[in-house]
Amino acid sequence: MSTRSPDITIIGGGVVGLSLAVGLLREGRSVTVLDGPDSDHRASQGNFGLVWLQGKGVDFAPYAHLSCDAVAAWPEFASLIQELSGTDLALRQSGGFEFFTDAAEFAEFAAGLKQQQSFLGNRFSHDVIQGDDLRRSHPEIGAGVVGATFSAQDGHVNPLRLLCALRRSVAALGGEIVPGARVTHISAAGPGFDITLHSGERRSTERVVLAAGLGSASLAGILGFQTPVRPQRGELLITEKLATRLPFLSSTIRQVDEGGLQVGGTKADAGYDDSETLDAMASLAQHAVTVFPALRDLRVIRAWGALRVMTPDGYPVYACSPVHPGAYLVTCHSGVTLAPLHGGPLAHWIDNSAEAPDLEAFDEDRFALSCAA
Amino acid sequence: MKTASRFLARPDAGSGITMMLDGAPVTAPPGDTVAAAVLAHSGAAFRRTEKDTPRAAYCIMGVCLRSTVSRTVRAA
Amino acid sequence: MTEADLIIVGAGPAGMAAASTAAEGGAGVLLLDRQSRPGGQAFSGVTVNGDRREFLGKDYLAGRILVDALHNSNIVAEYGASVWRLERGARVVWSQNDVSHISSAPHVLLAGGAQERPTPFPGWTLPGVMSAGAAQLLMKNAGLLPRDAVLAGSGPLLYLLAAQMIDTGARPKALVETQTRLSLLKASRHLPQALLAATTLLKGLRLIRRIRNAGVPGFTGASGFRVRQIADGDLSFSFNARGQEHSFTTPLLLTHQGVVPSTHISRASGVDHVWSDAQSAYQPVTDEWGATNVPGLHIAGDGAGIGGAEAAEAAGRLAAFDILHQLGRLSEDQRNRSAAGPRSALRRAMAIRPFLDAAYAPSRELSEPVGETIVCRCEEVSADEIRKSLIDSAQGPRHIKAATRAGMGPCQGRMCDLTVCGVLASCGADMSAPRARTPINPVRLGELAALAPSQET
Ligand SMILES: Cc1cc2nc3c(=O)[nH]c(=O)nc-3n(C[C@H](O)[C@H](O)[C@H](O)COP(=O)(O)OP(=O)(O)OC[C@H]3O[C@@H](n4cnc5c(N)ncnc54)[C@H](O)[C@@H]3O)c2cc1C
Ligand code: FES
Repeated sequence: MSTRSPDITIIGGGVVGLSLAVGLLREGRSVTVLDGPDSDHRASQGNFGLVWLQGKGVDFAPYAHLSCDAVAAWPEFASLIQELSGTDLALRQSGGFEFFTDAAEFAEFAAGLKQQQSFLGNRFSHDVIQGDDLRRSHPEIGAGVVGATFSAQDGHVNPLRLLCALRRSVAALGGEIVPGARVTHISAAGPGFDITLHSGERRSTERVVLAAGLGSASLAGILGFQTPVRPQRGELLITEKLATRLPFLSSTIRQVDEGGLQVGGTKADAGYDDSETLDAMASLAQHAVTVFPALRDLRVIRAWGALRVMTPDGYPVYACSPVHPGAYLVTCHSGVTLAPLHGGPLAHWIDNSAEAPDLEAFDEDRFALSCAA
Repeated sequence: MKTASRFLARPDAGSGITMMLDGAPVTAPPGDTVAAAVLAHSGAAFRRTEKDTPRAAYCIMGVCLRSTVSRTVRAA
Repeated sequence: MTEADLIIVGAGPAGMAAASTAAEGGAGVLLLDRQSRPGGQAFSGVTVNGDRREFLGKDYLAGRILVDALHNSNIVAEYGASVWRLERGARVVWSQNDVSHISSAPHVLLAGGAQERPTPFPGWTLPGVMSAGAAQLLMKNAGLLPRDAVLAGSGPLLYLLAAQMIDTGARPKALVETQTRLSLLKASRHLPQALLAATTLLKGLRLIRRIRNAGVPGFTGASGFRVRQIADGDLSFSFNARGQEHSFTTPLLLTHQGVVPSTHISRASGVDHVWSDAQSAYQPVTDEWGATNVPGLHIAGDGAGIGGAEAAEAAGRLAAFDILHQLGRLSEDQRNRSAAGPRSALRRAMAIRPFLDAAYAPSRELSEPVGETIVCRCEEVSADEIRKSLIDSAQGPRHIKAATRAGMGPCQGRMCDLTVCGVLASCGADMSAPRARTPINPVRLGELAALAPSQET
């Protein structure tokens, strides 16, 4: 155990906390990451692995820009992490589809992309493709698909390897990760903080970042934050491995680099219940065979549920505590897509360096305003 | 080269269904599983893994779910 | 949707006995089994082979009585029916001929039995290494007799298999056991209790004598198992025993380390499980009738804890009486009185377990492998990779799965969960039962899609 207290302690060792740790370590800070036990909910262990731009920030320009920056920064971030960790992330930014089986949903999504385009100008490109045109170029697509949108900027990574690789990168950069360290209390102590662990152990730190996913909910208030994060369940299927490659990537059907197909995309408010349900399994399967009928005979080997970490409006919160200077809250959905941002600009922001971006739009005071309005 | 079966020849094998295994006809009694029929005739690997190591049937009970041949042989 | 009072998953001794008991008590039973006929592992193929294969012994033929009792108008039996999910509210999802069905009943009894404990050591994935249970199934169902096989590991099944092989003229080349004289000595303190099951003990001793008389070379306290492929597909199996290195050339190495409850389905159904030190395995938590923490769900037979065929049969009847009581078909008093017979049968059958568990406890070397030994056969993950992944992250089954893919293959951890736990335990880490998810058996996307409430347009 280190005797000197670190400059910065990050609570939460998911992709968000670890990406940030990589960024801060590269800034030259000493960093400790405290991570919870094996039984914790971890969005980073159950997600879909998309590095995705389509539909991000259609009614919130700052988020459209943030996502666009992150997607553009992925190749460089991936090679950095691969070099530090020796792990291949299987990043493929080959372009991706959103498939629609409902005409109204298709029209609505296409209108959203138009809006996103207006925010991003020539930084974003996309196509809206009618079902029959789609089938001319992709004869394997089923007749039930009314249309699709496509962006050449969309892609995916292997999310489990990303998580592992980030851990290794933190270690390679000299950071400390403490596993099985559930934080139960934090208190301001002079210029710094005292952190109490479930085991009773206490640690001190100069600054503290709360990046504990759903675990942030119970600690945020202590540090003077007011963002309520809530779970939203998503369910996924994985099939046996396919010897051939799937001819496309989409936001709901993707082939992982090991060969299996993942089908995903459900959303449900089910509290902290992360069970897989028969209804969702059946509807995901139905979606898959509607989009690509030839998948009919592929066998599903596992279904699972995982909990998204959602802020009230679904956009990230990057906030400094109004009560305790030196305490930060970092939470978001789409932590995979945003990883390069957390591992770069956000670290500068926390470090208050000259390159710090303007993240005003992501402060949690936007919830206070909307409540007052 | 053919790898000999790891099992003794079955006395009651005579009549049954003929199927092709690696290009040669083999006979199996009706009701045999394909795994059993193959094991009766060959000790070779059923498949190779992604890391290219050879594998054959292991548990037969559907625990390892890796006996990729599991259909029941029925009389034609 | 099929309606019944009770759905039983598994037609082995526990499931068959429960089905006939419940049916005789007036309950409508739906009996589902993945195999193409009743019998389970112990009596596999008994309906077709019963009168042909004498070497399988009298016990095996006893299975016929259980099978015959299934001819009851209250029982609907479906074979080739693999159950892949239990829903809350006692709905059972099962697949037959590539079509999935949902059946509901107020009560479900899991009688899915046991599976062999994994036996990882260097080379165990080579063609020609099989489980002893597999060899026995091939003998029972297909009349395939092992050629010059070496039997290795521990547990009573090895004796039974060896004796059956001798009787059929397929004498094993050697019997290599891991248990030591010391473990036998320690186990002997359970002998007085085991005398309750004297017939079983005597049977065991007779088997051992038969193997010795047949001149099969025997070793105990063996360790350092490793096997490699040599010419013509033959294997070279080496080990240490009596302070010396030994090696056999054989086409077939049959390994065994006892059996453990098959808990995949009960774990995926929300049943509480505990680690049993005595049986070195996870077990569902049940009461004396087999009832679990999940309302409407009972478990009987080896799936609830290893006891063998006779114990399973008794436990199946006990669960059936309790379910009949809950259905209002037996008063509490009637249930308790009916239970007396099966309960003493169960006690007799279980009396020998503490002795067997202690005498044939799994070898540490095979439960907590090291080095290059493959732990997860499906995803080809070695013990070393698992140990290395534990360095800087949460030490538990979820992490190992995410970090190494161990447990993510087609068998969904059935073949590696216990070994992963052994490795974790040897590192002093969390031993909570790993989460299991559905489908319990792989299901085709098209088959699953057909269960969606409405077709997408
Ligand atoms: C079904 C699903 C699909 C998704 N698909 C995508 C996708 O395709 N693309 C994308 O970009 N994003 C996707 N996401 C979102 C993405 O997974 C999350 O944004 C990201 O993983 C969040 O990371 P995190 O670090 O905030 O949280 P988590 O991964 O949940 O990690 C939180 C960590 O904090 C620790 N912790 C909690 N409380 C404490 C405490 N008190 N003390 C110490 N440690 C604590 C926990 O142990 C845990 O390790 C998906 C999410 C889900 C659920
Ligand atoms: S052996 Fe590990 S998943 Fe099958």
